[in-house]
Amino acid sequence: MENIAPPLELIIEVRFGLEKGQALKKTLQNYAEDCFSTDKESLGWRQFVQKWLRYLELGQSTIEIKNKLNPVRQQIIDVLEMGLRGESIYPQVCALEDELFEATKLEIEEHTSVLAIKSLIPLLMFQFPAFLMLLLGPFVAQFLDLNS
Amino acid sequence: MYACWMIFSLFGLVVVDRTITSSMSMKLILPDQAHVFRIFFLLLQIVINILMRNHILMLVMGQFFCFFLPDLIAVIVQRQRESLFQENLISMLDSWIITMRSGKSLRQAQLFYLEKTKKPIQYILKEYNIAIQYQQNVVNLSQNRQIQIFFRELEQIEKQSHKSVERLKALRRKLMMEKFFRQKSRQATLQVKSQSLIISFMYVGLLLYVHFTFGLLRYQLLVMFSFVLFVFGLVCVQRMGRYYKWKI
Repeated sequence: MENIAPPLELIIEVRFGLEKGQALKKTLQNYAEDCFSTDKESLGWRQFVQKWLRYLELGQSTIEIKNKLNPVRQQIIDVLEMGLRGESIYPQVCALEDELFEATKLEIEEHTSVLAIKSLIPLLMFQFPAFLMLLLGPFVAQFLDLNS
Repeated sequence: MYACWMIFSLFGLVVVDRTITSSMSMKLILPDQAHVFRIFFLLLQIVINILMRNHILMLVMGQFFCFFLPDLIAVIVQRQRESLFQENLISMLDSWIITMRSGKSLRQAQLFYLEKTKKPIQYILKEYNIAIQYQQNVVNLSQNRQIQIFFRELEQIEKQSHKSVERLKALRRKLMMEKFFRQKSRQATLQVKSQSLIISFMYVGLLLYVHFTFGLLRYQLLVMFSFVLFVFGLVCVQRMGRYYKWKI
């Protein structure tokens, strides 16, 4: 979980690309081909972006592949498609980035609060019995030996 | 036996010279310090060779260890330098932007920062400047992903000299956002990691107690089953903290 959410990562890259004057298509291609990321989810998302760009280049419909995404990611792809058609999308990208920033922050905070409780499950189901086994096991074994 | 000792003793002297030369080339010691170190360690090596003349195997093992020691230290030192450089990226960009706002160029801002900053950061920035001057690939300067991306972006900003301040500000903004989320994510996993560490220490302590009180060999099956259960629980906790599927 030590990476940014993939959609936010894409929007940050797009905004950075637009601010440094790079063409949107070049920014998206660089993002999709970037081999720096090691996160599985990020790699999956980049592969999707690569596939989507290929569909657009070939003039194929992207509706099918977009329908597999959640509403947030669909919205991002729709805005980027507008940009690739030549429309100005900088204000939309900035607004999306702010929204995604807040949403990601909220998600991480929720995850942090729930993780502490979730981590109790393996602790109580596996580690605590392991402790008890090691602590009481020899005593019980000796007690049984004495009785027999 | 005597011939072996002579050969390995000479090898030891060569290792000392190679170690000092490597340390100097990796900037671990200064050139004027190298001369003093060379004399001191050569004399030390001669004394060790004489004292260890009946333990040739240990002498050889020690010499091989010293042979690879500079490379090991260089890797550790380089990682520490890169870690410090990474921590200071944003403050470095702040400094450059402020200097450029006062009318100086990017190159001047970099040189001004280079004079004032800490030595480890200076080494890395100097390597970058040399790579730029000789038109080498700046991405190969570091194994650290963020530093590679930083150098790549900086190179592009330097090549296209228009709107440098705005581009540096955009780069700073991007780095700040990434740093913010990395810190937030680490907070989530830190709690789980520290909990796992404490539990593991407690388990090892209990294992030692059982060994010294009852003897582990008498209860092999019990200990093995307990250990497997504990490790399985530990793995589950680690996976819970590390792997997360984003909802957005």
